[in-house]
Amino acid sequence: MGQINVHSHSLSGLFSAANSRLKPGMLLLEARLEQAGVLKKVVDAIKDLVQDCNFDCNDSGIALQAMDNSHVALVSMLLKSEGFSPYRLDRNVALGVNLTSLTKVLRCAQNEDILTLKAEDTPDNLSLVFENAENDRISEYEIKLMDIDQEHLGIPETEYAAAISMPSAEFQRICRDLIQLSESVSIEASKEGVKFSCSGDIGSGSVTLRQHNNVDKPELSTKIELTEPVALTFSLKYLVNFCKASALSSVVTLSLSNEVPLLVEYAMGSGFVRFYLAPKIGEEE
Amino acid sequence: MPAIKLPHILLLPLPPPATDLKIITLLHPRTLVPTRYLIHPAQGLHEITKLTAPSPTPRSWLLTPPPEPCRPPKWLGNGQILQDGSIYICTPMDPIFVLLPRLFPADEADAIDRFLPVGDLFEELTKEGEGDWELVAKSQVAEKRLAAVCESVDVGDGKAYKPSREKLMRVLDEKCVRMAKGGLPASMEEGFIRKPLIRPIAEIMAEEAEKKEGAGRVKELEVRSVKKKENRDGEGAGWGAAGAPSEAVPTPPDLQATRPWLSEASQEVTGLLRIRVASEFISNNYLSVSIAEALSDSLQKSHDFTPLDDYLAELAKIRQEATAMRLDDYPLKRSLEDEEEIVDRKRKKGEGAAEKKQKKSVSRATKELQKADKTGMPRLTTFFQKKNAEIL
Repeated sequence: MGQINVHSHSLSGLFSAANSRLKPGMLLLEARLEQAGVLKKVVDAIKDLVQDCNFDCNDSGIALQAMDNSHVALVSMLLKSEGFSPYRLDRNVALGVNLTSLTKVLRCAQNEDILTLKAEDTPDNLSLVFENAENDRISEYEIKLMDIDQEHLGIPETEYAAAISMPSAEFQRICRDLIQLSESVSIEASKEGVKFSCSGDIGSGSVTLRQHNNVDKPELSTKIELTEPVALTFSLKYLVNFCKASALSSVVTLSLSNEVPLLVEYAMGSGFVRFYLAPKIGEEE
Repeated sequence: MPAIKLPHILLLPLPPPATDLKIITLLHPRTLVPTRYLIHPAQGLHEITKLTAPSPTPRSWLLTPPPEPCRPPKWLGNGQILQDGSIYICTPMDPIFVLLPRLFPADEADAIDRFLPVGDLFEELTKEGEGDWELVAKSQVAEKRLAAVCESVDVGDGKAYKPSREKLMRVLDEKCVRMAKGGLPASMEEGFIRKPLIRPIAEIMAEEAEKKEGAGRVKELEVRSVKKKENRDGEGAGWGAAGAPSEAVPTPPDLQATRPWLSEASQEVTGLLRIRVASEFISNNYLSVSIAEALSDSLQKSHDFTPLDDYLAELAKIRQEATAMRLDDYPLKRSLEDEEEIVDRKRKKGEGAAEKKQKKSVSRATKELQKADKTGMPRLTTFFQKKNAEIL
């Protein structure tokens, strides 16, 4: 293990040296991610929700916020600067990227590759370098950037009535099961547990998770923090889509309050992916 | 290129006292470009016209010696082939035309306003030099023609002349009427008289009839057009010149018999149009601009063209209506709207392609999402306010 590390360091050292020799001071952004898999999973999780979006690079890291085409769902992503080593940025910049293109390039990276994002001053391209320590392989790709006019929404800090944390795989499974019966699911949070229920043309179904604590494997616990009982209905198609982020984290947190969007959060060690989804308000009558 | 001069085929006036024929250079009365003319000692000035076969049907000359009697002709060895199939035709021309630009200059100030004997008059006319005027002046014909356009007074044993515009107009007027009398050459009759006078309905009928007659007719037309050309060129110089052997030989308008619709226009109207076309033809070929204008004015005075103008105006109106009607019936031609439509369609097509491309790049999951039932789901912007300042 240690050997590999040393190896990879020497590789990257060689690489940055070469770069600085070629283009001294030209580099606007250089962010090195130990595991390309992180970015791969992040992009995979959101690429079906949004097609083109800006990666906003600033001192705190690389952030992304975008709504889906119908403007009922929003994804907010942050890869904190601490997650990169190194993270060098001359000035704040928004890199407009087509996520489909980015996915294509990221497919060329293995999860264990070291990934370096680089952009020149006034960038036309975002360059991605994948270093495979094991094979001493360096792959370099560039994708064209685009100008995207994007508005950001200010998301206020909200005290949610209910915050449910549960295994992400469990949430994914529930959503996939229920979508077979109906397009929408009602989520009811109470002290006893959380109940996902739906009813459609062929019948109805429900899954209830009780609060429980798994000492051995805390990631399999279900925790409910409740200030008042909540019941809201959501589109299952969107929820299933959010579940693509399950690979990012074994735990997902659902935060609900009446009359506000649902927050589905996948936390990573050095960042997060958050989805917001508007509840179905008119339908309950 | 070899400097060998290829012989030209020239049709000479009869009989050919070959040695006395001369080719001279004079200024063309219309264009004032030096042009070659043929002088015949007896018959006077001749115009030389080059006839060329139409380009799609190339022709050349095969020249053979005259066949000797009692012997089979020897074709091989004695002949010559000329690649250039054109022929030059000499036709008598009224010498007055070449004198006109000098007799009646555009600028009145230069005009000759005193009586002069013939010799002096010619001297006056030719003193500015260019061209071989003497030969023209010498011929008997020239003096006669000159007399026709000049006022004259008796001076001792001879006569003195002064150019007179009135007389000139009378002469030209006469020429027009004579040319028009009995019909113009066939090709001119067809193009300038018959076509403009057809009523549109008759035109449609005629077109259909002609279509039926088919290809054989086309051939006939071609042959005729060649003949017509010759006719016309002959005609151009044929009238007028006193002593010229060929009086204007009008092509009898035999077409009228087979084309009854022409009779719709009255004889009077047809005759007037013929005069007008004849005057235009003479003006365009032989008269300077200023004289042509004067001729046109003078014709307006001497003939009443109102019936013709009325008839033409009426036809124009009918034709316009007929065109509109036909457009309604068969929208064969694209109107402006159609074009817009086409552009529209193209744009739509382009958009469609772009849309398709975008659709292709959109994943299945995204498409699924777009199909999601979003009833009752308010937009997120109702919950979250837009940030004015960028996060950056």
